Amino acid sequence: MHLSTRRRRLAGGLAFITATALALTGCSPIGADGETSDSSEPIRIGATIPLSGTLAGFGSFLQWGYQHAVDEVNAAGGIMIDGTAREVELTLVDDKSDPNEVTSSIKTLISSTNVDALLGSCTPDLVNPGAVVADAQGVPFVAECTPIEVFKSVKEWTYAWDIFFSVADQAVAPFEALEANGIETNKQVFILHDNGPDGQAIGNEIWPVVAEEQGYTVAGNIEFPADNTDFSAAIQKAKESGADIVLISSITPAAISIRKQMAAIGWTPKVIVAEKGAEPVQFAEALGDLADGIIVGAYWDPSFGYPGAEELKDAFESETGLTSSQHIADSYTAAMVLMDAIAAAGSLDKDEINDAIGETDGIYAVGPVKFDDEHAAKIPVVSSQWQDGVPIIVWPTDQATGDFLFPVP
Amino acid sequence: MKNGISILLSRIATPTRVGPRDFIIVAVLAAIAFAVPYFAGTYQQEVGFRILQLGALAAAWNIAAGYTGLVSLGSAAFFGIGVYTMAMASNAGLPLVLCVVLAAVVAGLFALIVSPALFRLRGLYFTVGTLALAEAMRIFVVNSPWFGGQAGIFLTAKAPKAYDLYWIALLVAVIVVVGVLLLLRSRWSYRMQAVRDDEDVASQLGVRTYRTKLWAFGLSGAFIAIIGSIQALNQGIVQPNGGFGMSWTIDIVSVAIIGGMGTKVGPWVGAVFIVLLGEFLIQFPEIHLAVVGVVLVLVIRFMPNGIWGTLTLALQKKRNFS
Repeated sequence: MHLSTRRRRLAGGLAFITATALALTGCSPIGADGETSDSSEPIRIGATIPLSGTLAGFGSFLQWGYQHAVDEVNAAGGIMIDGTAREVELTLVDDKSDPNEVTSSIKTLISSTNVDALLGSCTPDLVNPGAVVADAQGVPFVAECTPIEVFKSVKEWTYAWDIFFSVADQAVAPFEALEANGIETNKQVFILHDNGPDGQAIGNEIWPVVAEEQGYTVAGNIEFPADNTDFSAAIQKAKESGADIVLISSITPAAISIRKQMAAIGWTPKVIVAEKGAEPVQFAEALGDLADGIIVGAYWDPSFGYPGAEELKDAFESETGLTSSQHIADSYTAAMVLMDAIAAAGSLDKDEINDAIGETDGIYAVGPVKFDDEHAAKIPVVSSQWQDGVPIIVWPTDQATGDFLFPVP
Repeated sequence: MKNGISILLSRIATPTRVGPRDFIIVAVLAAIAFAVPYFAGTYQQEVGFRILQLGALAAAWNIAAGYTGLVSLGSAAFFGIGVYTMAMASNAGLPLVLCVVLAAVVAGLFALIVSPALFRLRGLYFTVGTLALAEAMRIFVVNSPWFGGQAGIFLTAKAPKAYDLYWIALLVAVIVVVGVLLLLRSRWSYRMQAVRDDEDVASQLGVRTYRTKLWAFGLSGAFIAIIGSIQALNQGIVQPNGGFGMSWTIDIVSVAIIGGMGTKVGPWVGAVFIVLLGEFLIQFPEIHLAVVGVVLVLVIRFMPNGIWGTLTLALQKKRNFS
C-alpha cells in the first residue's frame, strides 16, 4: 500500500514535469545571449594561449604581446566607440596545448565573458579549433603563429584572419641564405620532419621540390610523429647518407632532442636548419653551445626598422628580464590590427569589426599587414642563425645583423 | 596478488539493487534537464553539455572498470574512434543518427579485435596495456593517410547551436544511464561483479569470464565512442591530439574516482564537481591543474569510495545505528 502510494506520487511528479517540459517545447530555447554592453563597460577581447603543455614555450610571448598592446591602447585613452572612449579588457585562458581546451574555452569566452572579438593561440593544432568556433559563431578572430597555407586549407573563412609567414617562403629561405653567403657544401640534403600540418607540407611537398630547383639532391626524407622522442635511427640514416645539410621541421622538444642525439653519436652536419622548433629562445637555452650555427626561418628582428619594433624589444626585455622572441612582434601586431579595426569600425558590431579587419592595410611592428581574399596576410621571411644564444639575421644580406657561421661548430 | 588495482577495486561500494524507482528518477531528472535551454543562457547550456558529456563518459567507463574490474586507461582510443567516425561519416553525407550508431559499431568491433590480446593481461598489466592501446591508436591515425594526418578533418556540416548540442548530449546521457541500469538489473551484472571480485573463482563457478569481460569492455567502449561522436560536432574540426588525447582518459578516471567508482550516481557527482571547479578556476590558469590534482589526492586518501560512495556509506552506517 505504502509502496503504491509512493509510486503514484512519483508518477504524478513525473507527469507534471514532463508536461511542463513538453509545454516548453512550444517556446524557443535561449540562443546566443547577444548582450549589448553600455558605454561604461570595457571592450572585451579574449584569447586562449598555451601556458602549459608541450607548446608552453610560445605562450608566455603571446601573453606578453597581447597584454602589451592592450596596455598601450588603454594608456592612450582606449578606443572611441559611438563617440565614447572605452577601455579594452583582455581575458587570457590557458588552453594547456590541448585542442579540446581551445574549443571549450573559446566557447566560454564567447558565451560567458561576452567577448567582442578574439585573438588566436599558437600553431595550427591550437589556432584552427578556435578559428572554427569563432567563425561558426560570427565573432571576429585574428590569429598569428600559424602558417598561412595551413590556415587557408581548413575552410573558407568569414570571421577568422591570419597574419603569418608562408611555408613556401620559409622553405626557400635557407637555400637562399646558403647561396647569398657563398656557403660551399656537397649539395646533398637530408629531411627530417614531423607529421604536423606544416611539417607535412614543408617536408613532403615543398622542401623536396625547392631543393631540386636550387640544384640540391635529397639524400633522404624521414617523417616522424610530432611528439616523437627517439630519433637515433633517423639520425643514423642521415649520417650514413653523407648529406652535408640536414633540414628539420618539428616542434621545439623534438628539435632539441634531435640536436642532442646528433651530438650523442658524435655527428655534426655542416649545416642544420631546424624550422619552427628552433624558433623560441627556450631552444637555445636548452641546448647552450649546441644551438650555435642552427638556422631557423624568422620573420622579425627589431633591426628591421618597422614602427615600434625597437621599443617593443626593449620593453619586453626590461619588463621580463628575458631575451625577446619574434612572437612578441606577431602577437602584438595581431592585437593592434584587431584594436585598430575596432577603432575604425567605431562600433562593437561584430560584422562591422570584421569588415574593418578586412580593410587593414598598414605597416605594423611585425611588418606590412594586408589581408588577401582568403583572409591571410603574409609577412616576409628571413633566415636567422643562433649564435651565442642570440638569433642573428643572416639573409637577406642587406638586413643581416651578423656573419654566417659555417660550418656548425 | 594484492596490487594497486585490486586494493582500489576492493574499496568500491557494492552497487545497490536497481528498481523501477531508479528509472523514474532518471526520467524526472531528464525531463528537468530537457527544459534547461528554455531558461538558461548559452553559457549554462555549454557547461551543461560538458557535465553531461563527462558524466556519461565516466558512467560508460564504470561499466568496465567499476562493475567488471577492467580498469582501462584506453578510453581515449574509443573516444577518438567516435570522433573520427562522426567526422568521416558526417562528411560523407550520412544522417546524424546513423553516424552515431556507426561510431558505436566501429568501437564495438575494435573492442572485439583487441580483446584477445588485452584479456591475456590482468590487473595492472591490463591497465598498462590499454594505455598503450590508446597511444597506439593516436599514432596510427596521425601517420595513416586516410584521416588527414596531424591536421585532422574539418566537418563540413553546419555547426549545431549550443542548445542542439546540449539536447543531443542529454539524449546520449539518458541512453548511457538507462543502459547501465538495465545492465545492473540483468544477470550480467552478477557475472560482471563476480569477475571483478575474483575472476578465477567466477570461472570455477561457471561464469564465462571471457565473454563477460568482452561484453562489458565492448559496451563501455561503444558508449564512449557515441559520446566521442558528439565531441566532433562540438568542435567542428577533429585532430588526433584532440580526439585521442590523453586528457580524455585522465578526465574520465578523475571524475569516476572523485565521484565514486562502481556507483550509479558517483560519475555524475564527479562530473559536476570537475566541470564547475574548472569553470571557477578558468581565470586562474596557473593553479587550475594543481588544484584538481590536490583534490584528487585528497579524495583518494580520505574518501576512497569517492564523494558519493562515502556519503552513501555514511548514511548507511547512520541508519544501522539508529
